[in-house]
Amino acid sequence: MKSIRTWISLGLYCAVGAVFAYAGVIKIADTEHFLSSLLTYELFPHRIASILAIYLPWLETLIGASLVTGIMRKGGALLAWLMLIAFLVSIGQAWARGLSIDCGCFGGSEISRAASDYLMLVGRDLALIVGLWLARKLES
Amino acid sequence: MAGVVTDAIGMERFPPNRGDRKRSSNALFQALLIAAVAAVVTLVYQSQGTREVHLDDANVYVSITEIDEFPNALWVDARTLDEFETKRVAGSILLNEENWEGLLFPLLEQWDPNHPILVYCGRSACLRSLDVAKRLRSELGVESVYAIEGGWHRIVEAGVSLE
Repeated sequence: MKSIRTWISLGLYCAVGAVFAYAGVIKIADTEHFLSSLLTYELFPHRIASILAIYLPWLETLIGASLVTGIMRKGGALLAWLMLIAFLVSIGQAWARGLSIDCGCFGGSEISRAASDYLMLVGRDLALIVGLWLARKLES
Repeated sequence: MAGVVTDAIGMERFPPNRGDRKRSSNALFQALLIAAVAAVVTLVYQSQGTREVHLDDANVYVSITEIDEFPNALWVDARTLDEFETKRVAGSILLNEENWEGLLFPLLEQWDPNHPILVYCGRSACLRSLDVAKRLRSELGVESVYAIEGGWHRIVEAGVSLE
């Protein structure tokens, strides 16, 4: 019988996975908007941003599916970690440069200008990172 | 004791557990597999022709640092009328998709087919200049129409003459 720790771990994986899958599907439905959002980070030229705009949503969706279903969950969790860290670095550099970014995280326009907007984005990413870490910890 | 390694200062150091190593390489292998599957799915989806983002679009862009190569270019402002009236590149003409038909004719009157057209828009992320440049390429039947990468603030930073 599964222990309570295992159930909590499973719940956390499912929650983080659902967030990834939702974010991915939303972006697949409106890739052009996601491209526009990516360009606000002023990190990549248009060609690289275009490649990322069409690839990342599918990667996010598969990571989400992996975390929720448990199929290749270790790999999905590793990729989720790497993506979240990449998001944090991207947000951090935009904040440091004083850019006004459109997160592009869950479709729609979510413009971040003020420190509180940036803190919200960073907090959300950190919550997902902690969720994954806790899920891993409780699993073992 | 078997499996114990002693380091430079004589401290006993245990080699990584074989199980841990196996788990790590397993996770890495799975991660690579997921990334590869995502790449294949992306390629298949892109090949369906329903895509919104075209990789070829990058050829329409020019960097603000390259504008010296277009000394006689006609500047086209793809922003809104309000933005255009507030400040614009000197000598530029307004053209946006909100009022395409009405604004295209004045542009054609000023355009010399031997000169390129440079289109700009507002934010670094705006795709209006790209859309206008692509539409002009298609309707005018010329390739020498380009969108300025980075938008309005790049133009201001570069010190392009404004009015």
